[in-house]
Amino acid sequence: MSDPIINVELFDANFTTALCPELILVAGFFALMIIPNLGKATFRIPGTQIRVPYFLGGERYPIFANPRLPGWIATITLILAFASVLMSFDGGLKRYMIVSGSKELLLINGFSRLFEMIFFGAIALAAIASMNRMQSFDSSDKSTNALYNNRRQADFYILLLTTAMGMAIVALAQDLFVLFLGLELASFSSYVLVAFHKESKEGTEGGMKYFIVGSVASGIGLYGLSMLYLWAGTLQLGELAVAFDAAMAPQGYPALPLIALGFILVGFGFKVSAAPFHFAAPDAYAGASSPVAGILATASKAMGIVGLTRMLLIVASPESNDDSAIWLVALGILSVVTMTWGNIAALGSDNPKRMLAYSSVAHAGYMLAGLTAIGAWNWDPELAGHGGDAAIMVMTAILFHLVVLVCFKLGAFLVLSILESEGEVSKMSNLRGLSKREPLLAVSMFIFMISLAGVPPMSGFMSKLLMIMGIVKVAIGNMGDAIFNGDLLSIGDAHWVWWLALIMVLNSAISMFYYLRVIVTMYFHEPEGDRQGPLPSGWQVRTAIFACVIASVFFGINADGLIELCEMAANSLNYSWASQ
Amino acid sequence: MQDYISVPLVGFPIIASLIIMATVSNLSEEMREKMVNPIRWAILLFSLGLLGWTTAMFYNFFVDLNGFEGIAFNNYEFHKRYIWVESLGIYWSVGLDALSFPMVWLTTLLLPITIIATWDEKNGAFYHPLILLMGGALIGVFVALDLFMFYVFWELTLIPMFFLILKWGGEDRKYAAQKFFIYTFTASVVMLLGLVTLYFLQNPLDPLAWSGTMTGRTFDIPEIVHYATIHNSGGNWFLGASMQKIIFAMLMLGFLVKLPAVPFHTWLPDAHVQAPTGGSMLLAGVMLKMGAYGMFRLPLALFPHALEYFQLVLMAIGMVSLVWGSIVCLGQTNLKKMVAYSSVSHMGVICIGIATMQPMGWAAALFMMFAHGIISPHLFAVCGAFKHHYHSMEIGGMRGMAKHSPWLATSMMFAWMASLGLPLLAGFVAELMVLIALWHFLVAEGWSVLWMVGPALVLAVTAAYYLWSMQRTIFEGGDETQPPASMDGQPIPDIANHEKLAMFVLAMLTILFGVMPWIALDMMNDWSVQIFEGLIMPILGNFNGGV
Amino acid sequence: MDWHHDPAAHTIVIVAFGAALFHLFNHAMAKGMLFMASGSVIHEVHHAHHHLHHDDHGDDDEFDAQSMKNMGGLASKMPITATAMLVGSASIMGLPLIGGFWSKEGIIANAWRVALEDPRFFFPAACVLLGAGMTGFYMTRMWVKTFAGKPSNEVAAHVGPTNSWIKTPLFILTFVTLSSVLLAGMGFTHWAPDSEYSFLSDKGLVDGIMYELGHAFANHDAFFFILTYVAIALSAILGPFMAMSLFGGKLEEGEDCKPWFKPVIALNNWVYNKYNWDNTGIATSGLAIALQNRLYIDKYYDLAMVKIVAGFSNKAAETDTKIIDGAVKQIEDKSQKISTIVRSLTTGSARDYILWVAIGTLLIFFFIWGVA
Repeated sequence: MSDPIINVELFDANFTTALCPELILVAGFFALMIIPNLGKATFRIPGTQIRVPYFLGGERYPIFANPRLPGWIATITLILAFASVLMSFDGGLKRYMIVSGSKELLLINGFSRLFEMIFFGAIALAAIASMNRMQSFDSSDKSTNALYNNRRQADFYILLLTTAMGMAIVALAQDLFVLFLGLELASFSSYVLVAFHKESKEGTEGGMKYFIVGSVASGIGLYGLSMLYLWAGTLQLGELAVAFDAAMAPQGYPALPLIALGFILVGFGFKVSAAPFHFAAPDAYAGASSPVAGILATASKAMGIVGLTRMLLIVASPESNDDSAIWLVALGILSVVTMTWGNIAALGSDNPKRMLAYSSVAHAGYMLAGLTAIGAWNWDPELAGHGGDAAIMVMTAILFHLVVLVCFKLGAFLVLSILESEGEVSKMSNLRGLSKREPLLAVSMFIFMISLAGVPPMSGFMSKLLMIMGIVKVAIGNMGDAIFNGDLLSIGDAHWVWWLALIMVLNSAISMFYYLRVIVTMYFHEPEGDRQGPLPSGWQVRTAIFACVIASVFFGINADGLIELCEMAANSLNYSWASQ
Repeated sequence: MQDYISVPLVGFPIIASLIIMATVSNLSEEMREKMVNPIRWAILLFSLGLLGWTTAMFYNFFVDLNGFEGIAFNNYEFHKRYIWVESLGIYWSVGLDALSFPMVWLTTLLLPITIIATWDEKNGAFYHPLILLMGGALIGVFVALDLFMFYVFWELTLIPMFFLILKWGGEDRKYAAQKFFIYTFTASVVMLLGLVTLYFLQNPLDPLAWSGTMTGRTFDIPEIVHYATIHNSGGNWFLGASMQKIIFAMLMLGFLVKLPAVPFHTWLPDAHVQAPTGGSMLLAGVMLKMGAYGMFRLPLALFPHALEYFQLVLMAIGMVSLVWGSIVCLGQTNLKKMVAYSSVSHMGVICIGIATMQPMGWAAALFMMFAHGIISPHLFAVCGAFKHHYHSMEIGGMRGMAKHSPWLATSMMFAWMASLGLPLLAGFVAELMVLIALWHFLVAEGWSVLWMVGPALVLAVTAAYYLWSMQRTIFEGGDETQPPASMDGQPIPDIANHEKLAMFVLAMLTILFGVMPWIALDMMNDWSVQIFEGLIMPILGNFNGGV
Repeated sequence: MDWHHDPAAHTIVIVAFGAALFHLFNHAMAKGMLFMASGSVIHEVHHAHHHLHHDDHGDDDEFDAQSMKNMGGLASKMPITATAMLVGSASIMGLPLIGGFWSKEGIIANAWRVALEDPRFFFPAACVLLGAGMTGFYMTRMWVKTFAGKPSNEVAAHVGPTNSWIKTPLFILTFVTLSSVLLAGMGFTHWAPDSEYSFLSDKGLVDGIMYELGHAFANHDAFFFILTYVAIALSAILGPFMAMSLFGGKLEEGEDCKPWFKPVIALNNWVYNKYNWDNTGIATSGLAIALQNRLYIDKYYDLAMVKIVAGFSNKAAETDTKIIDGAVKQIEDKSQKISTIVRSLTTGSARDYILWVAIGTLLIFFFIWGVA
């Protein structure tokens, strides 16, 4: 924390350095709009026979007409963006604040960099996988057909890039307006992406529902944000936090920010698909193509968590308070309901994608439990000790979980994506005999499943362990010292969030059941009648899956590096936590 | 000191088997068939090498040490520690003492025997590597001296066993495999929460605690045990009374389900009946012992007060397991299910041995773990031969086996006798010692020794169900033997040579450890006395008669 | 009588224990020999049956080679075996001077000595005496049914001599049994239980034998004098007499046997011819049938085992499956049902979803407000 935050005005000296990944995205965005349209278009200077080529349109050059091209452009853009985020860590991360006058707009620090990595990584993987997933007929077909394909591809990948852009903005935002802007950019792109699969009825229907419910939730969230503005007269997160601290009077909070907080919880609750705001999610996941569903389950969820973290922890967390956060009980109940609801619903679900959707609801519950625990970090000045350590631990766990979730949740969706390009994947039985048809894919799916369930030595276990450790650390606090000094304490003296950890481990045991069912379906049953032999080829998606497998295992066995990274990110989230 | 454990005993089996399976899965069907023989020979030789390695460790001929006897409590031979996840205080920490070594040796012993006994299991190119993987994971549990590592291997053992049951099991294998996995997983996640809570209750301000981690605490077992030993004293409970009880209960849940003790035992019959022979042999031989091992390793060493507090509960659980297991055995018609329930009953004996809080009871429980580890694979090998050759496991479905399958009948008789506790065989030593320890316990507690009638009667019931099942399979039928209906009039084969070999080795070992139990018992006894004198007596005094 | 502390009782105890130990020895020799000999008989009978019926298959099960009904008159066919049986039986019965006589006599005498001191012991003492008589009866019955009389069927007529592997131990055991008198003379009854006693320091072997003989047959105490002869009468006269009168007979015409069997068989034949009586009434009485069925103990035992223990264990197994495992299955089943209910809330209609959002919003307010 030696370097101070560098303030950067728009187009300042450091502007490109600070926003390099986002600028790459913008460049890719333009490239996607222009490159597939390059052709032999010319225009005749009126009155002459001179034809001046202007390239946009006309008969396209074969290389630009290649339906795979948009995919490659998007993938390369995202990978470049990802790489530029990685490079920014080189030689010590520099922190920037993009300001406009006195207003802070975007903050670039470890926390937001990590989220950029999550978003870009996840969407890059989805983009690679989509190359095999989207129908892309050979360009030797009729040219209109090729054009159609090509256009459609370009649309799809443009939407992917805008999703990434919106999410990145949410991760960076320090201002409610910017936050909402990013949120809506990402949301709207994802609504379209869900409905993009317009050949199938489910796709359109799911997209529509996702849009309607999402708009309502966004509207409620926006209402909450505007109430905050009404109350505090500012949209700046930092100023709002000061206002909350100041409002922390003995007589309690005024009503307005509380109502606002509740509304905001609903708005972001939809994004992380917390029960009971999750209803549209299973429909959307089932309707969307698998890579898109993977994005919804990982990147989109991460975006929701960023929003919640910003609003609940930074704005409304009681840093100077000796008491727990005001939203503690509400969020605790929300997390219990979410994880239990998700797991119970997934138990009987026969559609693999809906099952994964419910499982992602359950995972949202685990992360909400972590957030709840952070809210409890000052629960008792004597027993809690310096809660900041514990809060960092929990935040590290949440970040770690979000990172590895990209590996195994998205990976699972990618495996389904290969199956999908063969035909329907609406029943568990479609997975039958995968171990015979494609042993390596089955092994990958197996690793993803036990990772999701949290079985060692997979990364899912590590994230679950970290989460439990964080929650327990918050709940236990300094009780070790107190016991050492002769106090007789019981588990009842720990903060009640300890029970969240218990509910969480029991829930993960329940979840074992449906994850195992996938494994059993793949390994036990014979392939379905008309679905024999190896699956359609596609090295791109297989590469993506392979990367996911490696990461899922690697971060389970050798988690130290990632934990340190996440710890760094968590440290940079809130200055007062790092006071040790 | 060199690291004699991590690579040869844990790392190599796991990695080698994973590589073999990955390679094989990319081969064509014919190539796979061709590769079966080299693979199983390689794995057999390798597992024999493991056995040689651990035996050499026992004799310590390549290090200048005095074996596993006389190691002070909480000290370990071959102890090595490497940083694994530094930020959480997690170490890759391995070591052996008289508690873990017999289990490790047993695992390396059962690996080649299992491979030999199930030499021609179908789909061998995957089967034998899985057995090796299972072995590596099991050894990992026993050598782990870090709670995290312990838990990782604890759960890792589920995966190969799950696949062994799912892919090579019987009719209802799908249900059994899932039940086995979920049941034990549920218990062990509760245990995990207990471990994590314990982890955070270590006092970070204590000079013993760890710096350089995110949390200031460690998962290292020797450190935690050391820390607990300091804080446990006469009136002083480590972590305080109520906290100690809660964490003790959470850990014990995981161990008792794994053991398994009544009423958490119902996963076992299902898993055993459906599992293939090799899976059953390792499951009964080593995997059940993980529960007992865990009880010794953690609750006993960390929470002696709570153990004393829950002594009678544990005793009751042991008694109920013993009695219920054997009574249910008598009502079984499936041979393998009967043997599975007999395991429940024998695990009850271990539970009683631990609950006596007598060094003799502990040594007896340790020896029971070891003896049952030799005898039960024999039982399951016999059951497997039944299934393999007669396609039936119904008791009474065949008669007069002594006539048409003399080798199998002999093996069965031997194994059955060993399991019912025939003197001069390994099981007898353990049972007798447990009964003596129980007597000590009753006398010390001032209870009526009539309580001994229970276990004594159960031994009679044990004899009854074993002899009865033998009567209905081996002997009855006279000259008109009744071949099992499932044979459809096919000629009845006796067991194959490789099965004979495996069973013979097991029988010889049963005799060896029945006649000369001190080979293993000495160090177990030593360990028990060490822990009793070093840990229990300073804390609780010579509270119930002791030694 | 204080067995532990009374010095007077001490002698009795030592002698009684000595007699018992001596009887263990005698019994081991004699009974071992009897089993071995009967084994050889059974073996030969089975062999003969096999030899006779080797061409017709399958009736192996009908023939019981162990049944005395299928024997008779074997004394001429298997002399060594018959001799061993004879000596063994005599030893077990306690025929004077042979093997078990010495120890049995000691036991009876000591039992009665105790009974005189303490009336509670009268019953066991009487039982000992009664048992001696019954032993005389059944051992004689066994011998005469097997070796004397006429072969009861074709098989018994074709039994050959036993082989020399069995003969050798039989001979040794016979010798030991017969020479039991030497052990008695050495004072076995004293030195076996009392390690202080040195058997030859007291008197020489001949003196010892003479002492024992005198002690047995010419006891100075009138009671024990009579007792000895009563015991001899019961076990060596009355018992064998009864047996011979029922089961006796002589060998087949033309069959010859060793000279030492001749008086036994002749006596047997004489008793049989002279005193034979019809025991059908007793043989068909309820008591006899009950005895034949071992007083139905086995039957009730079986019944208890099968009905109670097996029944209980079957119930236990059922409980285990239905209740303990059933609970686990119930959890599984119920959670699936709950899952169906929970999933049915996902109706597919966006209206309902928005309703749920509204409910959720209200709940969140409720909880935030509740805390604040």
